[in-house]
Amino acid sequence: MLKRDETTRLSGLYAGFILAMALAVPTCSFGKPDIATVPAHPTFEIDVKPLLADHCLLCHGYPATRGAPTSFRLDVYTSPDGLPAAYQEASRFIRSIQNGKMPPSAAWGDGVGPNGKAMLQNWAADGYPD
Amino acid sequence: MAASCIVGQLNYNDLYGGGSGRGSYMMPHRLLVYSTAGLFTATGIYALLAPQPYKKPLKFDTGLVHRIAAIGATAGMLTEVVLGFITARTADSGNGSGLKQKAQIHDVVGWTTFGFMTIAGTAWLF
Repeated sequence: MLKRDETTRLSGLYAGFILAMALAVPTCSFGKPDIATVPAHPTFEIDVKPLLADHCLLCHGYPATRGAPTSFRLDVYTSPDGLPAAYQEASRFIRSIQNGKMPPSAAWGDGVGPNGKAMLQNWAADGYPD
Repeated sequence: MAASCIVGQLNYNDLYGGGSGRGSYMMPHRLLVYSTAGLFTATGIYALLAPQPYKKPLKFDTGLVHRIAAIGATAGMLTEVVLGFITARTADSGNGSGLKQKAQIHDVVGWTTFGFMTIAGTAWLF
């Protein structure tokens, strides 16, 4: 049988493991890396869609998954089925990304990086071109 | 723990096993695992604070089985907390790369932990 001091040592090891994980895991990054350069005049198909694929389409594709709203989709510029798509929702999703509300783990540092945000700003400034 | 595993399996099937993908079991699974982790921690603290048992020679009995299984369940539970956190963070970042594999490992370790806990509980009863 394990003696009391052995039990205490094992408890200490478990506590140390929890503490190490509690400290280490939040500092790790689980999101996709930021884009390397900021295009001056980005377009949806070439620049924005890949960014959305990295950070948003897991849930906001078509059909929406993981409890995401089904009232819009971000996988296409304009939707053939009449649902508001990336063009119609652009100002709203860009605001959510800039505010750090989306993706949900942006608060943990897994959001869209500074280059990605700057690219979205350029896209908005150009009037959200396809 | 049984409810956490069952709802977790339903969640896995829904998101990765050809289900609707709507995430209907995400919140129930989250609430159940918080409850399970809380109860497990409380039980563990209670066990650690228990009085020192009478000395007896080391032999393979239900006490030893209980202790080995409880250590396995504790290790599994700690692993599950970390794996669950990593899987949820990866999904919440929108990163689908390797997400199914992470969820699979979390699923397998969860059922293994449940197995250890069942053995520990059964040995404790007898």
